Amino acid sequence: MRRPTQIERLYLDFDGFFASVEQQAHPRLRGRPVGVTPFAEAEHTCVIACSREAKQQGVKNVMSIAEARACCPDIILVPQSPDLYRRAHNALISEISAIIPIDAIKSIDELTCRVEGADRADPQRLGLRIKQRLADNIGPYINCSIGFGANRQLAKMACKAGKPNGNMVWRPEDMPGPLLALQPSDVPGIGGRMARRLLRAGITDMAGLLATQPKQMRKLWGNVTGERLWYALHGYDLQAQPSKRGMYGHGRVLPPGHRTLDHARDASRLLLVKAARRMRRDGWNADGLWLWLQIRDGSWTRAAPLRAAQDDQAVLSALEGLWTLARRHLPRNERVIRLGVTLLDLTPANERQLDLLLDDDRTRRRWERATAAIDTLNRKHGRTLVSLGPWTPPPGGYAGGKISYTRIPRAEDFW
Amino acid sequence: MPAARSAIRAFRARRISGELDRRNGRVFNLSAFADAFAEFGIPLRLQMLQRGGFLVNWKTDLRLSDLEAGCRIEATCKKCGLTHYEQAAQLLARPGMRHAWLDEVERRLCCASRFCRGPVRIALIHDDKTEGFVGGMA
Repeated sequence: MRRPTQIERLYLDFDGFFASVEQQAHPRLRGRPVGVTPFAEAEHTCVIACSREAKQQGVKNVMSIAEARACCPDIILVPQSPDLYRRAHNALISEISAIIPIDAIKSIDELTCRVEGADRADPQRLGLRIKQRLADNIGPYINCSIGFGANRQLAKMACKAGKPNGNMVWRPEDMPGPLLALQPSDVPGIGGRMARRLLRAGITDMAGLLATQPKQMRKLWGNVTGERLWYALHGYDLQAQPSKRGMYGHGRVLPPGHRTLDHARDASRLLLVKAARRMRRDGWNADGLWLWLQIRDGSWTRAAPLRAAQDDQAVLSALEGLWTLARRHLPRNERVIRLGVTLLDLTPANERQLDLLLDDDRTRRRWERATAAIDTLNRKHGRTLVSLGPWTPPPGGYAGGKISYTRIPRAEDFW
Repeated sequence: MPAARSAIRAFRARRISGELDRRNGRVFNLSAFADAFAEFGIPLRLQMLQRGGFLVNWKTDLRLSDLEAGCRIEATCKKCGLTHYEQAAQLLARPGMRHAWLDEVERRLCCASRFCRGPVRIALIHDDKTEGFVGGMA
């Protein structure tokens, strides 16, 4: 395995991305403590992101609104605008890629690049160029922290160590000095449970963690991730293996006034159609459908087979079957707090394995043509103009447009 | 080329001191300035000069031909909000687009709705570069 002797990776993370995009877009929010919430006028939820000014007053991400108000009484709460964040992300990525090619986008506010040529000798200058360009062309209210290291993991940790608005360089010759100032729980990949496991193994600080052997780390983790992390922390050129897509799905917390079984069914239909659209766009078929409902006393989950289908009729029929079961098992006045629909067991759409006994290929092809026509019409008009059955978006909007790691929604996901 | 560089520096200096906009009581002809640069083989574009710099944003910095053929461009109407997608390879095949910069592409595209035809804002789609964390590792 290669151990770089120079800076090879850059990791960039935007500071308080959602809140700073809101401040950039809305001048009235600039310089004031801002908290972004999932819904407008919702009091029993949490702050999903907060601005630097709010953080200075003790507000943290994923803090309940009541706690946030207690820390910072003058906090301005704004509902999330996923489409605005998506557009900001696209513009920021385009600006950065005009300076340096982007190797991977890790989430809506994190990316990594390979550092080449003259930039290896003076990475800080490269960082300043990126920051200057973003300030000039996007705006001064969206700041980023940049870290440089021998590999992605060290660059990410350098980036985190330099927050906020940092430009931190961890040269291979200086390692492991900067690491020793951190705690094991500061290492991405070491959560609360793993930190406790390390503690039980007598590893209390970074020096102890770095003094372990690769196989010891593997044993502690119970899988190869521990060993890979050891090599990454010791400066070897190692990064996350590309992961394969295994499912398409959407989840939604239902607003308090829309928690009946009928409302939940309507919301699940819409989310499923959106998930199926994305699946078709990427060229996959699903062999299974999974419905999950969070109810007052736990959850209700069932799966249904699909037989390599991707058209709306197939997935909605399977969903209807699951809802028939749900109505049979759940009380009529049951309240559904949250729901999720997932299309599972993906196979490439161009490698469809026909089921001899079912013999539904002709029917499926007809529905696929109908669904393709619906998709074309909706794409042409830029909204859901045609759908199979009713189309009733839940209050709050942005159904199916959730921003998560590895998924930056497209404009069409909001239709 | 050194002469061109000194001309650029002179242009910037004049821009800062305000000489560029008005000289001898009449408006300075920016297109003539761009033509002068063209003699040195430097494709300065009028729009950049009007905005007071040589590099404005990614749209003025990238040509359509710089994009990968399969790259998708999202065009959102500034008037009605309709979004449609174009492929770089298909746009390149249109007349006059071969050497177009992306800001020129943006100006030439219009809303897909035949009742609107408003100006659009373009964005590049970067879906293919998205990667997840595995076991917390970047």
